[in-house]
Amino acid sequence: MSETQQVFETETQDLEGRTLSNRELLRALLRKPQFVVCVLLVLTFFVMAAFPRIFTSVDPRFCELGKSQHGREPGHPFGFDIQGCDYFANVIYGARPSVLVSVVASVGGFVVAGILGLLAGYFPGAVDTVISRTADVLFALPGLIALIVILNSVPNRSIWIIVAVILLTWWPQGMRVMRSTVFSVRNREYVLAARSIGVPPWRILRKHVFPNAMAPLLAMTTLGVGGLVGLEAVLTFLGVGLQPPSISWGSQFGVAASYRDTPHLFLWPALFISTMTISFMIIGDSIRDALDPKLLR
Amino acid sequence: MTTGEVLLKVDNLSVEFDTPHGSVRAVDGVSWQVRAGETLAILGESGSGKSVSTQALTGILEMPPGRIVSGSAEYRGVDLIAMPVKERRKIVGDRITMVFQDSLSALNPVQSVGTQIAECYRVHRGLSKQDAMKRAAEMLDQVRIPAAAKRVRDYPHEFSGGMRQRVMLAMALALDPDVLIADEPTTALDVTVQAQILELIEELQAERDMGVVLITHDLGVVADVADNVVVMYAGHVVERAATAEALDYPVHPYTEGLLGSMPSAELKGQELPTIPGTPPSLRAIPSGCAFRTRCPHAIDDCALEVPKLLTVAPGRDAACIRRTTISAKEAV
Amino acid sequence: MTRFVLRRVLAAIPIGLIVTLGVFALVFAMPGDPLRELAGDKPIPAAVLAAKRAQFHLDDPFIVQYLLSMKDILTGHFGSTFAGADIADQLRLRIPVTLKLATLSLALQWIAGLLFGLYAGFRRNGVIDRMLLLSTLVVLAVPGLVLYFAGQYVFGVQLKWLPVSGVADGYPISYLLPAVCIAITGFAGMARLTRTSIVDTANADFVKTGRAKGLGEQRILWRHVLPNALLPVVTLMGIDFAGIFAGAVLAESIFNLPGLGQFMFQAIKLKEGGVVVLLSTLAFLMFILINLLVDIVYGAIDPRVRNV
Repeated sequence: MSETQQVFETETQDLEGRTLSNRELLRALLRKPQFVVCVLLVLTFFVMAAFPRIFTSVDPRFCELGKSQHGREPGHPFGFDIQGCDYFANVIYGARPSVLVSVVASVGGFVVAGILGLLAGYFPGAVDTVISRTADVLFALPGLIALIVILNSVPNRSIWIIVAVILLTWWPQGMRVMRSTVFSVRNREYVLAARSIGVPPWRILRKHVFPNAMAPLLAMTTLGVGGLVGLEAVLTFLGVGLQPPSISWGSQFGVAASYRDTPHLFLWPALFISTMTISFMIIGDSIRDALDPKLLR
Repeated sequence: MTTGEVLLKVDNLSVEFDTPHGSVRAVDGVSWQVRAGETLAILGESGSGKSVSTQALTGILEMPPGRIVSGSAEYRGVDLIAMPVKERRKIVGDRITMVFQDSLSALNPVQSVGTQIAECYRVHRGLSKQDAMKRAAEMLDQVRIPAAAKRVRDYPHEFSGGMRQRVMLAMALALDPDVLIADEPTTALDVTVQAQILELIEELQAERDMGVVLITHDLGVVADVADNVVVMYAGHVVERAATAEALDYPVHPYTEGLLGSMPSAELKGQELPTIPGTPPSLRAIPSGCAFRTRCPHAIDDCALEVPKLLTVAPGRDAACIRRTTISAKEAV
Repeated sequence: MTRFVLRRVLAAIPIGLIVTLGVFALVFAMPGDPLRELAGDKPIPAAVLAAKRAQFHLDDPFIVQYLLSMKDILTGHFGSTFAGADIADQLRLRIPVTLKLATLSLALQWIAGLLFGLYAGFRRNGVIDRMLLLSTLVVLAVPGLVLYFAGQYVFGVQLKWLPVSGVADGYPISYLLPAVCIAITGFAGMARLTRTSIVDTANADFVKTGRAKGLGEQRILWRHVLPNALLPVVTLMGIDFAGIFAGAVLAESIFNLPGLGQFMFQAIKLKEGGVVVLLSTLAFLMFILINLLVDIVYGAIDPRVRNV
């Protein structure tokens, strides 16, 4: 995860100081067909997570052991899992945790990293020291290991706890990006001008610093959503994510790993999770391109 | 007036850029020449095409998106534009060298200044590393950098802006070139440092009988050091004259406007006259004379066609249909 | 140089203390008795239980437990797992496995990433460049988990080219598949970063200066563009290196390699606090060491950070 972040960080450096005009941005984005297609795909996954019943009327927990690991048959396009439950319904219901984790963690991460980065960058001294040193500590263990250690100590993990822990280990990266952009923005003339006419700090941060410093973090976040989709699956697979009887793509991978003879158990969740990740990636890539002043010229 | 050999002669040079919104012409039919020992100033606002023209003829312009549409640039009678890249590299960097405005980004940050100067000797003269470094130190000394022998191993970020510009100069003059193209060499510097650098260029020029092309937007700099001046506006040469004459008696309304907006003691207490409007975007250059929308003397005919650069007096050219002779200026 | 290294090490000490303390607290401050869980329903003789409790300092106050286990780690007395295996022996067996996996996958992804990134950057907007951008986007987008499983299924189970799991076939055969899988996920980032960095650097002013000096394009590329473009790549290599241990947890459990990652995974399952803390400390030390290495390499390339 951190590798990708580093790549994005470099790729998004140029976005520094770019003010966003929403309409201009949107128009540039809608001109790209791949962006539109991916947005539609992601929206489909959102609906799938919110109202799985729209896609399937079958109860994913209704199982007939006799049909264990059976292939597809009419009314059951993805076949059955080891307990003989309808696999299509299971895969559809499995979208919820991945969507929740990726969306909530990235939105939350953007907010937390954005606010802390603003504070650290704009108020050097005590505020910066506290925030940056905390980040150093959280940074010192490889992300996945920290996640495993923390999550393992939490009994009864719910999806929200997983999101909270991901947030806890993720924010330092975003904060550093935001902090460094704020650093370069805080002494720009327009900020000095605002300060010189007595605009209160909160207003300066909101009206002048944030809009001009958010682009790199925004691009990094949108590009990072894709990575978060797979994270829930990894954690659940490693046994520190959701616990049974929750239905999720991660737990389906876990089962599929032990039943290699029935590749459809692996294939369908893999297909769904990859489609969703790629859609998020392409959306993120398009947004980054649209934000890049070099390409707008 | 200099009478040295013509070293670099640019004729009818036009450069276009391909942009997502179609191609724009940044330089349109520009001609000028520089002789040994002469300082030619190319004067113009940003976007007037003054840098693009020199970058195009030396081949350092990014092509694409840039494209040379027409024209020639002859160095001692050989066309630089028509010659193969490999041939041109033997001239550009050796006989014709350049100095840029922003010395911090124009120098490689991870190489010592000595290595970068020595590279000229290594590539063009085939000197050994040691000899090249020795020569580099000598060059630093020539551009009056104190403790040159020691500083030769320092990196660009360890120099001040003025000192860094001297390093740039040392690099450009290392091979004793015939022509030095200085692209806004003093714009980023303090006024006092600016004067020192210009003085240094003048001294070194006199020593070597070198031709200097000085690209600038600063009329004061032109007045100080240039023998001749070429005024550019929106990619066109609008006036060409000896500096003294042009300053004394500008023919083109644009030159006139520039001169009029120079602060001076006489104008103290009065409002400074300015040229109304802003330079046109290259994407939307007015038809006919590009300056007509800002020109106090414009008439309907100005919109018809691009005015030709005509000789208005011996040694003086201007591109204005209302002022085709010196005396015509009196009339309007 | 010595001062620089010393200062960095000193600065790492407080962070190390907090990190290990945090991990220790998370592992040991949890409700539930690890020994009882390990034993399951079987009754344990009170004497054995007491001996075990003493061995793992389970009856001492929290901070004393922490200090004692830190002392054990620092003096090399790693003790044994709850199940009785000697931890030092385990480390001796497992460190080479993880190291082999890490070096093989890093070598693969760095070489491939640099080659493709350099080529795409030099010939930007060419066919290879476009293909690279597209393929890396896809690779970055396929979750590691899916990639590992797919690789294992296709090349191990179906084609039978490489062993499905375990280390029975020795090095490098047994390590090839997991290493390639890790390398593919890392390669994409490496290639993209190298390419972007080269393209950005190629637009720098000093490249124009190089042309004005009459240098050939090859010389400009290798002498001027590359050293500058490699700076962010070095940083990424460091992050890659530090992150490989985290990647090993996943890869080693899927491909059943008896390395440190698997050890960590099992220790967490069994609530072996001591092992978790030990391995976290190892990971942290690794992290500090790699960062130091990156800073030294960075300083060697970039004079601007040398005196910071």
